[in-house]
Amino acid sequence: MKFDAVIVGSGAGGAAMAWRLSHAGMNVGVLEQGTWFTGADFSQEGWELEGHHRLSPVPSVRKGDLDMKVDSSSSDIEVSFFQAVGGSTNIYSGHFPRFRPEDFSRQSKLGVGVDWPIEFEDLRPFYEMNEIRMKVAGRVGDPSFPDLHYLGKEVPVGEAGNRMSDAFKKLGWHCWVSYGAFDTRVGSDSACKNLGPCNLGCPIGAKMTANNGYLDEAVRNGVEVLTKSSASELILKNGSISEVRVRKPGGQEFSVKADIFILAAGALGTAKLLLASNESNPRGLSNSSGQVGKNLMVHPLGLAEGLFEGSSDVSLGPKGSWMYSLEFGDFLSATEPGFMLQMLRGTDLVNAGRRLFRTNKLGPNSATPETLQRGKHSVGIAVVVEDLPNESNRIDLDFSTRDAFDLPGIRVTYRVDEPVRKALIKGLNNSRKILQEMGAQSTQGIGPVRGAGWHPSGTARMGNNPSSSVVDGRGRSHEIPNLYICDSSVFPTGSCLNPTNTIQAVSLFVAEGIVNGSK
Amino acid sequence: MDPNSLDTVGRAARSLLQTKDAALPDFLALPGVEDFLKMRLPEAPLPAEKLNDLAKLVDDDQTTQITAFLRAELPNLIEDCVDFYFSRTVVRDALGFESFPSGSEELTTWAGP
Repeated sequence: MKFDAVIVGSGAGGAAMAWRLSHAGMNVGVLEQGTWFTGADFSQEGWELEGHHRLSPVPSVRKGDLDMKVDSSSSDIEVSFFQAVGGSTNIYSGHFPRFRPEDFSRQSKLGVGVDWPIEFEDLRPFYEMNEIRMKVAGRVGDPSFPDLHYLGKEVPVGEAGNRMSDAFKKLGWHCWVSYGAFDTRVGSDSACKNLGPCNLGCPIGAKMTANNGYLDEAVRNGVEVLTKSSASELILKNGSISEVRVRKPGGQEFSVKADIFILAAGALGTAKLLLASNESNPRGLSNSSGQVGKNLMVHPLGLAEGLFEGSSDVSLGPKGSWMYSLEFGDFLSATEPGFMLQMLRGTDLVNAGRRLFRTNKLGPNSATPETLQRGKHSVGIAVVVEDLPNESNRIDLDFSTRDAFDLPGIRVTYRVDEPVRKALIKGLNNSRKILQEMGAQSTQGIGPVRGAGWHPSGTARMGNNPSSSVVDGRGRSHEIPNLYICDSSVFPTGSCLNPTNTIQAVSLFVAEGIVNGSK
Repeated sequence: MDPNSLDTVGRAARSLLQTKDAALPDFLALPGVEDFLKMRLPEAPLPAEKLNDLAKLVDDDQTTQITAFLRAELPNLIEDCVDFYFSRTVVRDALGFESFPSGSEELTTWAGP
């Protein structure tokens, strides 16, 4: 099997890359360890149960048959991912901001972390392209993003959203309607209907994912997606990658050859593949810097919740793409990281039932529509903290376990440091103020939430210096000319903002370099 | 799967989830419960002695101690039972929930800063 380019991983970055290369007339193959998920997979009997089990983002809860094995027992945060065509975008919230210009220069501006080898302006045209492809909806005029112009009609925030906005106004804090990757075009067959359980997958295709945003069209252009196909090792020959070995469930193996190899398996999968490709070097491929697998960042998260009297429309609409605040988003110093507040719509029936059970309140006449309609009178605020790269936060190969492809797993080591803890406390306290200002009867806050490592990044970072980075500013390996990476593993720092828009902008940027280089 | 384990644990879960509200169904009567428990319970989850202890607590309707026992011995299972109970269509119907949200096109847009 031979392609012009083979991409490992079909998530946010891999799908955008496949689409761009296919439009350049290249013959492209995509290797995906998981399978296709469609609308029919998402709306099932007991849909909330699915969200806490089969469709959970947490691998130890989901226990997917085709999942990479991940041991997070040595980690304060369990890293999440979703193994399927389209990757984690199948179950993400669709919250779709950009990174800000200052997020690319922490070292030169503040003396912390490292700088990106590229600037926001390098990515600007690719953000714009991506936001059009992903039908990003929102409102122009946000002081945090004054240059955003091409936005779809915003997803309505409802009466509860306006009350939230009023609370922020009274406190004098920034708040804006979220940028959401949702089709809100009037008259569109897949227009968002505010069903709500978007994080379980959208059954009508209103939530934009790697699939409907890029991969479906890439496949129509001739891209071949090989599912249940796990890349086990890249083979180096005469200084370039000559082939990638691939495993099927049960261990059957075959090889795929290409001129160019692009890794898009996420911060976990990409680093794992590089470390496992150790036939020619025990440290793995493209790892003279020793940085592969290190500098894992995850956006430690706290969660505040408020309960209100009476019910409202708060449970209707995309749960995790509602409103957001960057009032405390500035990274001030090594001891004062910034954090985003991401407001969340009301919780689901299963969670409401769990809370009754955990607080020993499940008894005669307690499971009533009123108590269980918690979603209609609860509001959440997620505190998403920017963590800095730290070499001791890392992934390593774990040979004590094997997945369905008879491949080793990975072990995650991650510690929440003191500045992040303090930021979480500050964020939760401020969140409770907001909820109280909204009129909450009671509030609570927890953090760091263990099962909320939704934004892993940093494990194969880009940089200008080959001694401290894995790829250059164009996503190309410093050591291997036909090897590229186009996922969040290349992030030198992670901002406090959701990464998907930036992953895809970086991928399109890297793709442009590949296309121009091939002319 | 030891049918005694399934039966005992199932009865224990029922005793914790039965709200004694006539509108709500018995956990063990929900469609799919047996298959659900078979999937969730590992092989031989509890030694015979502990299973007997649990069965006695269930027979004596010692709800608080059942909760403590299951949380200590099968913590993930009891959460799973709660999830399963509240996610079933018959429970949703009894509580007046829609089986799947129908959504709304009537939400108000943001009034602005």
